[in-house]
Amino acid sequence: MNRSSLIFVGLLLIFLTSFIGLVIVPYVQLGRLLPDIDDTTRDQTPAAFPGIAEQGRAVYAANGCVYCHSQQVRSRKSGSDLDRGWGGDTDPRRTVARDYLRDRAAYLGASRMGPDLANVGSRRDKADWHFQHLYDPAEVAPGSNCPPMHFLFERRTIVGQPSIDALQAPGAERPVPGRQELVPTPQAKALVAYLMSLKRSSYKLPEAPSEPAEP
Amino acid sequence: MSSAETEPTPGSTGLIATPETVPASNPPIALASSSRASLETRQELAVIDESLRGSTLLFFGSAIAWLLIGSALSLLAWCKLIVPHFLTNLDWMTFGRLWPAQQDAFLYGWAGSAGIGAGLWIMSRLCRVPLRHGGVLTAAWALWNIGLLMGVVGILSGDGTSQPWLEFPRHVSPILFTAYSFIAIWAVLMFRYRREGHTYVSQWYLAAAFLWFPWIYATVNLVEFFLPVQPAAQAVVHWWYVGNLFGVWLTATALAIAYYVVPRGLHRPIHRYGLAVFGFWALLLLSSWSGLVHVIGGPIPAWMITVSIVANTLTLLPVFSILRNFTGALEGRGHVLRRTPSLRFATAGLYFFVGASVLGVCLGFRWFSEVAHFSVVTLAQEQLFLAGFVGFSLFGAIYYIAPRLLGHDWVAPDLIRWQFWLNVVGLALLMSGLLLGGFLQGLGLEDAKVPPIVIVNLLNPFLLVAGLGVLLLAISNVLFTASFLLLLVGAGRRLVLSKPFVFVSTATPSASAATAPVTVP
Repeated sequence: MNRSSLIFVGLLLIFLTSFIGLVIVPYVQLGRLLPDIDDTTRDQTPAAFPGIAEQGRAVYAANGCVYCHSQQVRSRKSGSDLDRGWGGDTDPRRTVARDYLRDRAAYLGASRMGPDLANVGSRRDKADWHFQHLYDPAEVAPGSNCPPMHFLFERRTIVGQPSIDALQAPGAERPVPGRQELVPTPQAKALVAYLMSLKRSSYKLPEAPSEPAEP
Repeated sequence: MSSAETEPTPGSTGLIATPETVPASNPPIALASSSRASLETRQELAVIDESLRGSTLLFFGSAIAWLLIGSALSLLAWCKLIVPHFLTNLDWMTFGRLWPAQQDAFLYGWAGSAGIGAGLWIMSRLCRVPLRHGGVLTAAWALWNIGLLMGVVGILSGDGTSQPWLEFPRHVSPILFTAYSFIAIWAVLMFRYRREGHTYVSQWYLAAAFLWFPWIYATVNLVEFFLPVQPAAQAVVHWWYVGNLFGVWLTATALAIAYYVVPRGLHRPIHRYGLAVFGFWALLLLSSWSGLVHVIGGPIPAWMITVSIVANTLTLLPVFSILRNFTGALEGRGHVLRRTPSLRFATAGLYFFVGASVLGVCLGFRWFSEVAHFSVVTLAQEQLFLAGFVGFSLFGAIYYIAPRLLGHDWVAPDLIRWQFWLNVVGLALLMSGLLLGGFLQGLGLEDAKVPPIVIVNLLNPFLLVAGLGVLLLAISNVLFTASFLLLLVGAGRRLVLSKPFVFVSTATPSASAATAPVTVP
């Protein structure tokens, strides 16, 4: 091993094996996946995100939700995800590569300090719940160590009519009732739109059959 | 280390007693008696050290600054984790920004910069080539740090990407790529045009590290941010990148340090050189394939994950053959560890390497991963690797190299002793908190009847223990900074009082004015 050329060639070959195996081949295999198209309606599955949800994805990324929440549901063989209802209630199923086709980026996550969010839009379909939760998670989920995101809300004095967006029935650390209100910023609204759009088990994909609970 | 006052001070790595002669001798033992080191060799080394002094110290200095920044950010992140209601009105102070900011500050800022500094110095010494056109390297250093600063500030101000270990905003990556490529070209050219024909393990690892990073970094940035492919394919490339980042780039840098520092500290060659050759090629090949164990059960084709699991498991073969290189050399010489900080840190780093590798292999087994996969056990593995293996190796490198650049030894032996033990105890607390808590968390997650809130509340006391460990690590990093600053200040003073022998005046033109007028007292 005293010839530089030998070492360089060896390093190049080793690099190329994994580069081909785990970059090029996955690119060919996964990079060209197409949405599932219904023969009669021509509907595409998964459907594209509504615009505001795409902005919300950026807010999700900016504030690092991924460090405590995953967005991937494993099959019954690999974990308790489906038993926990994270794969949807009616036709529980795992997530597969095509579920992320319309995302600009996927936040699969590697840590579950909190619950998985792949289907959080199906489980929690009330925007108000999400706003409350973002403002102070421990209030809707006592004992939660999810950080409150007060910076996503504006505390302001009510002038004339209260805002229709104002947080309903806010609890502790509250604005003075009737005189102040907490209004979600556009960022908070986009984030909630994104969270509510996460309903990956609400449609079917042929490669991910439903895995009903065993009786 | 109680004998610090009578022995050569702990920093003493034998600056005068054991000048390095032909560093690449195989086995790479420092020829112990100064009589065998010719004046010519010492002059040559002095020229090399002189040529590298400025840039190596710049990289070490900025690395230590990033170590402090990372420590501060990680303390804040742990405060937020344990007390979520702490400072909720500031967006940059939210956990989800502090966490990636501290991770990347440690990885690219501290480990990246210190690895570059140590890597260039070791490469230069082993190749017996002084650094030429150091100005370009200084420019690359500045660019690298500008990129890092923009990256960390970008994460805190809400431009982070939330892709683990790659959170810097996308406009930062061309800056870091350019800066690192300039640095890597230096190292590769040094290796290609070396004066010492013979090569040594450290050089192979360094060649790998310097070549690897630009490739993987460019690939992952193209695939995820510049020409984005569909997200599931991004995820595969992402974890391929992370696997290479840890398993090749950082591992190769840290092992290059160990292969350099340990035999020299022991005055004994590594045991069974052939194992090192096997270890090198096998480790690179297997590590570069093993990244996808992080997505076991994830929404990507199963064959990719299976290949990664197999490669990940097989890494145990090179890991233990590398360990044998060192345990063979250490046999019967444990007492030297007590008085040579560089050796002690590098050796401890090796044991953390083995520990982190074994834990990493376990995380690849499906039965183990079913419990541990989404728990903080994975965090424990990353920390053992990064703060333990890589961190300790880099401390060892700086303890070895900095005195040689500055011409005198570490000033405060007590600080070094405290730094070592605080680091070890901090890491032990961090590990016990994360591992015990993580297994409890994982078992809870496996049982669908246990609600997430209950799991979090079970985990909290363990996070407190781990947070205490992080605090101790931060304190030990402050001590290390103090030690380094004292060395810099002391260097200015002591150089005037007594001139180290290696800086004997030399007629070589590239030796600058700083060494030339020095006379032997």
